Amino acid sequence: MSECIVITSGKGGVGKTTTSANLSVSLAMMGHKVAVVDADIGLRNLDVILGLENRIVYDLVHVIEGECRLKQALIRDKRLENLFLLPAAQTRDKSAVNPDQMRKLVEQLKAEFDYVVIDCPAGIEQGFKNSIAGADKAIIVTTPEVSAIRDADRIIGLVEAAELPEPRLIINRFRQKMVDRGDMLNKDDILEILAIPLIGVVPDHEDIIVSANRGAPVAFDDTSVVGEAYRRIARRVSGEADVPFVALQPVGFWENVKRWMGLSAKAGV
Amino acid sequence: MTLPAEKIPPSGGALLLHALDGVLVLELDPSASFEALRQAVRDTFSASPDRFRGMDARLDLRARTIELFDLRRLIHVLKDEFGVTATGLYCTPENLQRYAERELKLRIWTRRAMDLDEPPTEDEPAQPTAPAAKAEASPAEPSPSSAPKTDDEVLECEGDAEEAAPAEPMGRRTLCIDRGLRSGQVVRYSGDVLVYGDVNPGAEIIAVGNVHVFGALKGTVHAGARGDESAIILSFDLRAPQLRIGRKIAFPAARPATNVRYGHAPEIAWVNGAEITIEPYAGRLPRNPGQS
Repeated sequence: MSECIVITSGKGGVGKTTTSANLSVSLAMMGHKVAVVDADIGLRNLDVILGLENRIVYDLVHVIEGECRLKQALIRDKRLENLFLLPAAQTRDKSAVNPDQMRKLVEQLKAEFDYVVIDCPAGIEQGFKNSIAGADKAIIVTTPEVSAIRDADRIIGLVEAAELPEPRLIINRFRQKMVDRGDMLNKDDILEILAIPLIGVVPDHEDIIVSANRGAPVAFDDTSVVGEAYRRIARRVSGEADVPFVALQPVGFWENVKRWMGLSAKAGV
Repeated sequence: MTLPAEKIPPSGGALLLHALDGVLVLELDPSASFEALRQAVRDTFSASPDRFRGMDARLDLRARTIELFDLRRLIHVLKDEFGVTATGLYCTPENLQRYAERELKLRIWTRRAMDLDEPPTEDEPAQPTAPAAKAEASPAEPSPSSAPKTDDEVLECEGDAEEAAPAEPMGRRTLCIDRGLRSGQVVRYSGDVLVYGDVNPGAEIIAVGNVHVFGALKGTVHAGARGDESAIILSFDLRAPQLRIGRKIAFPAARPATNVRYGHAPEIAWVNGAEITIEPYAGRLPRNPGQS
């Protein structure tokens, strides 16, 4: 039974692409066969985050326009043999594809893969409509900011109107310290407004930036709290019940020392 | 400013045509075949092919199910042969509504425009499709609700003709929404609105009557949208940054959260003389609504 999950948020810059990359990597590490589709045509990024940018020959628009076969466009990850990327075209725009074509493409992918993850572009226009067209489930990414939450609320409304069952929420860039000081919305404030099930809280951490620049998603890093947060989200996505949330307290000095010395494999988790 | 409802003689029985406020309404006989309908459209319009050119039209299908393909063809006949743009649709089957809204970009009306025998009214809310001049020409309408909206999210369109005088209290119509409203969702209704859930920031309710929110109200609400300032807004947790009643507008200052979940009382907003007053709901209306 394969399923297609769309990662969306409305607002830009909240971490859709990072989430897509790390969720896909985590699912693949669990042994599932995963295809991740970059639907952000014209502004592609997912290939960079995954470190696969220089292997792109064909892209999503080529497949849809029939210039190549789906298999030719899929790029196998260099670290995980059961993870594949379908990159977006950089020289076209969102109007190059329509929802029906997307739906067919996703059907094709679902025949081959256990999970199809779609990285949705920001906004509520064509790119968003394309992305949700073939999806079975939606994961909404938000940050603890009023503007991101407002957009997430709008997106949830649209996703519900498109009859995708029960979207789930990831709160990204969470800073426990700021919440403790009363400078950031806490988890409950966000859930009160959005009123959808929470599937993960990802702490704000430098690891994300480092890993993005290296093209190696943080989910590969066994010692990273953020990586562990994503791996646990993947376990929840694949249906595992009662996966505890990662501890959100910042890693202290001694934990860091232990981590450097390799004494604690999962520092701060 | 308002054209009288115009009766145009029916032809062949399959089609009934009338004009309301510059918008054509085509009532299609639910029992006629598609071919008969298309023929009726051609017959009716070709009698004076240019008479309706440039006008907008709404199709009234009622409970009829029509092949989506046929619906599209019908719209093309109107557009290509007679220059009439279909902008709205009255129909009850839900799949048809969804399709027409998404693919054909038609505005969906859940109630029929009017009965031919009813007198036309002066205060039909401006349609998003109506020419701008028309929208401006209705001074009776408070400006906030006459601004054209993107209507992709309109849950309930009740812009139909309505008696200008307030209806009998017993005959007041109520729309119950048994879930919350999210950002971008719009409800327009020519009666009272009840929401069983939260109205989130960015959501909008425009009601001719009262608005009651059995949850937190954080979005925009316009009660008494046709100028009735005896309308009220009632909520378990009134946190809206802006309230509109009739032609009054208020920007309540940020107050400590009065969340019912923390034991605070529901609040009511009403027009008290020249301004909107917000006060704890005392278990009754602040005054007799019929008194103004």
